[in-house]
Amino acid sequence: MIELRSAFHEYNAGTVVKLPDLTAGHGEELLILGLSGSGKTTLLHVLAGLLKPTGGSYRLDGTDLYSLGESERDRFRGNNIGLIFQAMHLIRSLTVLDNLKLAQYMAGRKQDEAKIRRLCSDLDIGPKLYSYPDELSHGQKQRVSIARAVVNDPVLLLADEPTSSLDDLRSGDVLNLLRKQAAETGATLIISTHDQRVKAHIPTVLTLDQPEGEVAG
Amino acid sequence: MNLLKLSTAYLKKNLLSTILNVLLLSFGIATIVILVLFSYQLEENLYKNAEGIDVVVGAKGSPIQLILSGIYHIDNPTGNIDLGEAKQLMRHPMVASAIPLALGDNYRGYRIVGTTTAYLEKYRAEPASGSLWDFEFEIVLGSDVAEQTNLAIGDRIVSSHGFSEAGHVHDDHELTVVGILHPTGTVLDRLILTGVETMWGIHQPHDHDHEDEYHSDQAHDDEHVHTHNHADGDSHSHSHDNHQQDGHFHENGHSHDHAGHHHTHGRAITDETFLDEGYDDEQITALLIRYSNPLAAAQFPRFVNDRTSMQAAAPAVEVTRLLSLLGVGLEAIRLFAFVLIFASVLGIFIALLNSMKERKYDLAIMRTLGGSRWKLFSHVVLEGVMISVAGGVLGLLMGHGAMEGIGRLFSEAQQFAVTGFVYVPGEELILLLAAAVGVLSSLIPAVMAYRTEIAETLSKS
Repeated sequence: MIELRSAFHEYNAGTVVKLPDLTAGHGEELLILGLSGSGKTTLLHVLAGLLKPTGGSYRLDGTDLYSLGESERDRFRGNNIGLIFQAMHLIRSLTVLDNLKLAQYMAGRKQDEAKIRRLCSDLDIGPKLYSYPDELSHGQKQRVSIARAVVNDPVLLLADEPTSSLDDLRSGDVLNLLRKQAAETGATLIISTHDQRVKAHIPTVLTLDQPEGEVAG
Repeated sequence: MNLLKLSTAYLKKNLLSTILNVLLLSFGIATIVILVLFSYQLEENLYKNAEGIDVVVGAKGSPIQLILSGIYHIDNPTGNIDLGEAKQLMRHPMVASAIPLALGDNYRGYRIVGTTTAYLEKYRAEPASGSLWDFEFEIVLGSDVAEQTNLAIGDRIVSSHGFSEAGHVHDDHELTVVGILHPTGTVLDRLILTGVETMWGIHQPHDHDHEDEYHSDQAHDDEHVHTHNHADGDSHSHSHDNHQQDGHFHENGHSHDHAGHHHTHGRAITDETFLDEGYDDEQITALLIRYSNPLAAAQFPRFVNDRTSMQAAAPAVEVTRLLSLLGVGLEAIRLFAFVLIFASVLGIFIALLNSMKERKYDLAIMRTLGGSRWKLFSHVVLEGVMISVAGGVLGLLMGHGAMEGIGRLFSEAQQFAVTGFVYVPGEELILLLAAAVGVLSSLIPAVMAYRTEIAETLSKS
């Protein structure tokens, strides 16, 4: 259960981004649609626990995320929030297996190789466990980044533009994978995108149309 | 997965730069290790060999030269002193003990030292096989000499005049090996020891049929300082022929007929009888003296230097002077080592700095995965420390290896055997220095990692 109430963020330059109120329960799916500059990225970072909003409240399963100390928030994020980036950002010096172990290690969890193997064979990347990211195709890398986001059984799964560089067929595949993985852990799935095709898969849509640089009264 | 594996993965990724930085640091560390090992062994050697010698008396000249030749058997002696005059000093009340040394010959570069058994006792040297000399022309080998020359008890050698192998050969006097000493770890291991009278015997004026040889011997005198006999050559009846025919050295010694003293059979002069045996017009090269009381250090050398034709040099003073002269060179090498280490600090720093630029997304991702700022900081410092400790360990090994190599390379030429297989107390502390290099060079990159702003970094992607 996530709850964002009357939040806004003021950047150093004085630009204020007002965030919409937002509620989503376990297993729910939410699509955030908006053009770049609509505050989409700010909203996503606040929801991910990466950016402390200047004002407002944000609770994730009852925890006021931004009242935690920084290290506690890091740990909480590692354990409860799964993030998928458009650029994926896999660690190139580590194998697929070690990338996933790193997620468990950084979150302070037990390193469970059996679980990683299970997850990877679910995502059809089982044979690639000992490959380095540079040896993988784009689609395989995306699956690894999905695996990394869900390996710690998050309550919130956030995906930033997961489909924008894909054709229709592949974009459908990725969305299905995301929904399936979220459903398996009972996580809330929030996808942020400007890709209108996603609407066909996820009916609950929050459209952002805030023009850039709106200054708070 | 842990920080060690994580840092290792990054170091492997940049293998070439990692290896270069490890090597660069290891050269610097190895240089310091060599210095430490060398200084340690040098000082230990200098100290050990001079132990129990308060002052060395010899012919006037450079005091350092007197110490080097008299104690360490490195340089040529300053000249000779008259035994009569030397004996007066030996009887001096401030002198507790005095060991006479007569130098001047070598065998294959190993110095032959004419002395009394007190010299061996000073270094606690005992024969490993055979015995000490009882008669003149009997010699005892230091352990290294025996090992290098493969001489065994009963073997006979002829000595060469001077201190290099190229000297004039005294082939009319065979010397017989009667004993081989235990290793002592002192200069004794590289010496051939005999009674003083052997040295006098070798350099005696010869019979008339050897006159040519005698003259050529004399011609060397300007170059080589050695004990030789000036006086009353005619009064010595010395039958070399017997030596060579039947080889019975013991039976056919020399009859010294001077100062009212009769010495037959060539029986060696013992330590106890040395003062009373006469020979006052013979010569020796140096006296190693121990004082009877500490006050003598202030008065005795001045007395010798002012009132006699001899000079007295204190090893403690000269060794300090020598080390301070040598110190300039060692200091220069030390400086060079620190330049190398500083270069490796820069090297590691630059490598990590570049790596941080490449890795800013990796670092941001680690934060999103739950890693704290301090974890990232440690991760980067660990990387620097891993390089530097690897360099430190390699440097230690290389330093010891190089020292051993140097020791073997110069083992023939040196009076001081140096080895790499020695542990200097506290040398492992150099690993702390290495670790400090790692921390120092990774500090700024680690702070950069610590400061990674996740949202900012990721939104720029």
